[in-house]
Amino acid sequence: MTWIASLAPLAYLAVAASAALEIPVRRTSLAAGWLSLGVSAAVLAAVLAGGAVSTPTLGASGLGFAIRADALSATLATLIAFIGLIVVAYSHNYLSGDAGQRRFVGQLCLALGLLLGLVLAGNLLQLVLCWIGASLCVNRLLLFRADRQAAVLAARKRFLVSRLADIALVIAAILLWRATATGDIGAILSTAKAASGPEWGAAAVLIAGAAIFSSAQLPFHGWILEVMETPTPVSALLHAGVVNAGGFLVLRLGEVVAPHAGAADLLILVGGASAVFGALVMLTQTSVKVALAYSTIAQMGFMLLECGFGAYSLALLHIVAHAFYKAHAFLSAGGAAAAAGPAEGMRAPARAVAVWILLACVGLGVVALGARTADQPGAFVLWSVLLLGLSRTWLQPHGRWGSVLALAVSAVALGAYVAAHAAFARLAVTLGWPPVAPNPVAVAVGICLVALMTGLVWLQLAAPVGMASPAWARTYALVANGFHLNTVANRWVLRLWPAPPSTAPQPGAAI
Amino acid sequence: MSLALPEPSFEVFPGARDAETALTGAIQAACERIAPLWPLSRFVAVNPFLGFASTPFEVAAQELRRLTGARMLMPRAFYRQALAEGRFGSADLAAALQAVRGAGLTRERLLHAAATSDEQPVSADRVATVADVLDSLSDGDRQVSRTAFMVDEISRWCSAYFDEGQAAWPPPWRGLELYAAWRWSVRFDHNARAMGVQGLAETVGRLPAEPRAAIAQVLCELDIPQDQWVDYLFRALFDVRGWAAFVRRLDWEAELAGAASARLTDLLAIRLVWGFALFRQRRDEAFISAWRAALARSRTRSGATQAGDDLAVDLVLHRAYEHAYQQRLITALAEGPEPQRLQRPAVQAVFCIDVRSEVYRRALESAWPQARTLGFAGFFGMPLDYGLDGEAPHARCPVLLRPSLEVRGHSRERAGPAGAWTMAASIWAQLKQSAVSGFGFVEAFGLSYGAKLAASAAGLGTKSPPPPTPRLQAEGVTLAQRLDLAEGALRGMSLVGDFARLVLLVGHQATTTNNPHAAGLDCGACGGHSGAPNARFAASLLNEPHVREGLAARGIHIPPDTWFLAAVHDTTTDTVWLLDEAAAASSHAPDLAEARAKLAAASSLARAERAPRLGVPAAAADQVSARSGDWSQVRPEWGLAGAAAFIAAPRALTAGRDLEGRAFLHSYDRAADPDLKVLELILTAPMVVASWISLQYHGSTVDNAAFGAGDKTLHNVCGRVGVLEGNGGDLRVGLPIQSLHDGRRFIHEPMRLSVFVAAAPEAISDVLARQPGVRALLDNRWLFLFALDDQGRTSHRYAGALQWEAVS
Repeated sequence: MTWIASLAPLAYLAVAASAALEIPVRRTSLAAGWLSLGVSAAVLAAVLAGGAVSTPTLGASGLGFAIRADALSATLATLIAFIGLIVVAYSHNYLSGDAGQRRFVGQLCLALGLLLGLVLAGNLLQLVLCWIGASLCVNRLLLFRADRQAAVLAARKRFLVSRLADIALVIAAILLWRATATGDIGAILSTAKAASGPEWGAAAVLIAGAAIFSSAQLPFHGWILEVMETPTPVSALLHAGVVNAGGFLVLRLGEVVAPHAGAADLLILVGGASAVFGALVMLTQTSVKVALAYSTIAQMGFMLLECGFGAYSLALLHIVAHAFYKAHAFLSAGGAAAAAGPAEGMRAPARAVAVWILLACVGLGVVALGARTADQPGAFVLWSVLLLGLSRTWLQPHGRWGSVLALAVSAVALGAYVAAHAAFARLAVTLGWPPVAPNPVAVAVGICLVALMTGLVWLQLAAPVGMASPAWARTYALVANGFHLNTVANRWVLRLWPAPPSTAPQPGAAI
Repeated sequence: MSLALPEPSFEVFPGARDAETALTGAIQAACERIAPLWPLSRFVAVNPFLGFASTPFEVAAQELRRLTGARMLMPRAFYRQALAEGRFGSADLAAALQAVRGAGLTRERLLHAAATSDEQPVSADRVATVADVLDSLSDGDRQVSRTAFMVDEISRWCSAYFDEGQAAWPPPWRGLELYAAWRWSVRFDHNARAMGVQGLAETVGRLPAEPRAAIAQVLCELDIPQDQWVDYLFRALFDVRGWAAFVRRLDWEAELAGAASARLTDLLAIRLVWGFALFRQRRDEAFISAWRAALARSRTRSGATQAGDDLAVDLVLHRAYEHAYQQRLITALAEGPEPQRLQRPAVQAVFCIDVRSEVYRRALESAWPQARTLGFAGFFGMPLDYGLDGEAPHARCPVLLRPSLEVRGHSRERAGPAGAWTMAASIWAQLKQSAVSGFGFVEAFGLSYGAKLAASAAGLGTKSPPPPTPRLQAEGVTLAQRLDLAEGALRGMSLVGDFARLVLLVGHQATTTNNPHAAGLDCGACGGHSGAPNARFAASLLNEPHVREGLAARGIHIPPDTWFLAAVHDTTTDTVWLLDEAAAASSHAPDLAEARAKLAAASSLARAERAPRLGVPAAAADQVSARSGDWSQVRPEWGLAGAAAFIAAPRALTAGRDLEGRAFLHSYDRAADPDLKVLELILTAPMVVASWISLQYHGSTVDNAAFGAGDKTLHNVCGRVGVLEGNGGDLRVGLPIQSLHDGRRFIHEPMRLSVFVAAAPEAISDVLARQPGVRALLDNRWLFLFALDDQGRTSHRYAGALQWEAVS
């Protein structure tokens, strides 16, 4: 019966195949979307009611195809099927009249099928194949407007980074297969709990690396800033579905990653740095889609940070919630011109007081919540970041009653946060992730992160009120250019792998 | 690493006052060739060829082609297909040949050229710019040549400088003037160096701080000959034409307000100095010799070229293509006036001249034969400066005018819980968008966006609502002013007698979702906004007893049982909302009830007519309305696509025939205009605005890369003021390709506006003689002008220089 779940990816793959054969896909792609969503939701319901199930592997030497239906895979399959349906339906009007529409929808369906195959994978071979296939397919989508030179550049940057991710994942998979003599993920996970040895450590670090390479993390993030060179539905799918693959990998193989401090620290370091970097640079960005891209870098960093701290259920919540949020943000980005402006800044004397109020709020809150920094660095960081974010709104000038309202909104947010967290913690119980032991690196990085985040809040309160000294100008220029990381990346890719000249219409060209 | 930069130590053009005058003139001339661009919040149509209006159409086409490669006509294949489809024929070709006279072309040659050849690619006969030479050395690869990078950098810099609220952290140099700000910022911004472009900061530092002096020095060091300055500077600005247009608009608005402003000179200096930095870092032999060759070529401009011959052919083909449409319209108008009904009409409904009104007016007249419709600019002569509930006020009048009436709207339900709700929403938005709270926000509320996604996908909660009717408050408008406004509006729409019991002033707006160019579908006469405030203000004025007394003294007698009522036509859904019905006396309740019923019937008819062009079967025409709330719809409506004619005449001359939603209809009764005041107003304002619209559509259609906004599916709203196509590049002007083309063919037919005025040729000439700007547009053939007689026959065609030719 578990094999029924395979209908979710297979439906999309069938549509992709028919698109390649020049068969109209308008109706069938929608039908596949609904079927896929229905199947995924049914599997999720079944898993929640009856626990995880998996199929035997179809293949040889322990490698092949299998379905693993548990809380993680069913949740993510439902998410991908849902976003997929939205995106496919969106593309029908959005690309209406475009000569490449069928090709576009076909590639979209192929990517969705492979992503579903990835999250439902019960065997390493399927996992690796779907991982690589989905990534290649996304590159085809990035080149949908292949006459645009900037699209070619972005696709090439992504291609290079994705191959790094592929290499890391393939080596990790080979190590795991050799250590356990099977590709069955369930078997590997149960062996991992008791196993030790250098190959397990190496596999853990490689998995973390693959996650980092594929999630647009520092300093390999450049491509995600430029994916708006392809129609908006692809951006929505990318930011909401594809960049999550790294997080999914860590969660899927959590039992392998969790025991190894090296892997956890890598995730904490890179994820934390990317979170601060993305959030900081986002403040200066003036085009809506680039600002959203920096926000994705930050959010994915935060999610990997949670993985590094062993807060797996929160990371899963983050993946799902961020996917909904970011898909909506991209698909409705055309309304940005009508959006409200940013908040006013605070004058200098108020700012100094504000930081102390902030820190006091956070300190009190964290103490009250009982998170001890030394043995629970994760809880400390995550609660601090939440409280910093909420208390920020209390300090922003809102006029009369504004602070009271801000408190009320914060209370609602806190309630929603706790509720969502509790729901996903229950979901995660069935997954049996092992705890991550705190280590000194995590504690030190955690404290740095909270300090940096406090600085960010201060900066945002201060920034709108002119800070026009040369030092600020230099800082602004550095931040607004994303620390020049993407410019340098572009320069190197242009040098190593120059794109052919643009064939996009220039003035005077016939359409 | 601070860069200590030496101040420039040498003078440019020492002692050469002539050169300085010439330079000032050249900068001004180059800047004036750029047409302004309004921000997305009030995206009105602009004639992209505005800077060439004093040049004949044909010459402008040649100049633009030579300087920028941009085209002003369609590719040859378009005319070939139109000829094959019979959209024009050999009679039109003969007429076009006669009109251009002496071009040395014959009908046979034209037909041959149309049938067999494609025009040659534009020759290299351009002005030499550093960017072009760099591009040619890299085989056209603008990334390798770094010219694409230069445009990206200037564009990104401008979007930060002009950002209207996207970024929370604005650049610290926003307080400085444009060029000074850029000059200062370059000291700190090392992005060019990261890309491998050395010496930008050093180049900037060594050039004068004053933008004109910097431009002068660059021209001098590049050794550009003085007679090419204008061309060179314009060509350089054209590389950043989007932002140049944006800055040009700032100058335009400043000038309209009576202030001197030359901010475009600053942007020109930025662009020129950037290019000069690229020039300075290339010291290789290949570049130097290519640059010398380009300069030499530009000095020996070859005269007649293949490109010139091609253009001559295309100009005649285009003229023939326009002629065919004109002939069809002339025939339709010649059917003569509809018989006048003698009894008092049930309603008079005044619509905007917008071409979309033509469809609706025809529908209303057929659903309600006792109704009479009129056409007038949709701001109803009320140049409001309007803001709702403390939002920043904006001009609600054509951009050619300055608003003179300060009006504020106050929402009735502003106080109390609604106010708190608004504030809570803004706190929520802060939580969502700010740097650190974004993480917690996603975990707390991200899941709820699943429901939001589903709702948006299903198009829930996005039904086009009736426009709000806040209380309007005008400050310091005296009775005399109100009286002048009221009289001006009524005379302007030729409505000075035979008032019906109900007079509807129907403004218009469009309701679209997720559309950066939404304001472009709103009323252009209201500055890219809904026409509701203007219509409501005008109606309240005309219902005022004191105003009516005053009007009577000036010879306009409005019967006491006449009530003016504002309404709004939603052009996306073809719904018409009646506004402020409660203010009408109970005696008018039956009139209102009938109006509501007939308007609903007319709306259905109008939707059914529009449906096929939108790809919706006429039987399912109500689906048209759903497009308004569909977030994935890139063609919610066709806007003004198809606009081709402007007719100022009594409705009787146009009623009862299908003008295909392609004509601007302005009511004009020559009998009521003995001193030609109204005619003068029509020719100077609405006709010019209509020509801007038609030329905006024309430019975006014939060369979307140069004058249009590109692919809507890639649009990226930037600084809340404009769109980029994709990740970077210049700000885009004009219309997206999806607004012109349905995927199979152009919905807009690119042709100059044909204007028909029901007045004597001598009267029109009188007005033109007084209005040199308008006359230049006509003399230079940016639009066509015809005179109609009282029977709707086209009696004369304007032949330029205040001369008329009889039409047989």
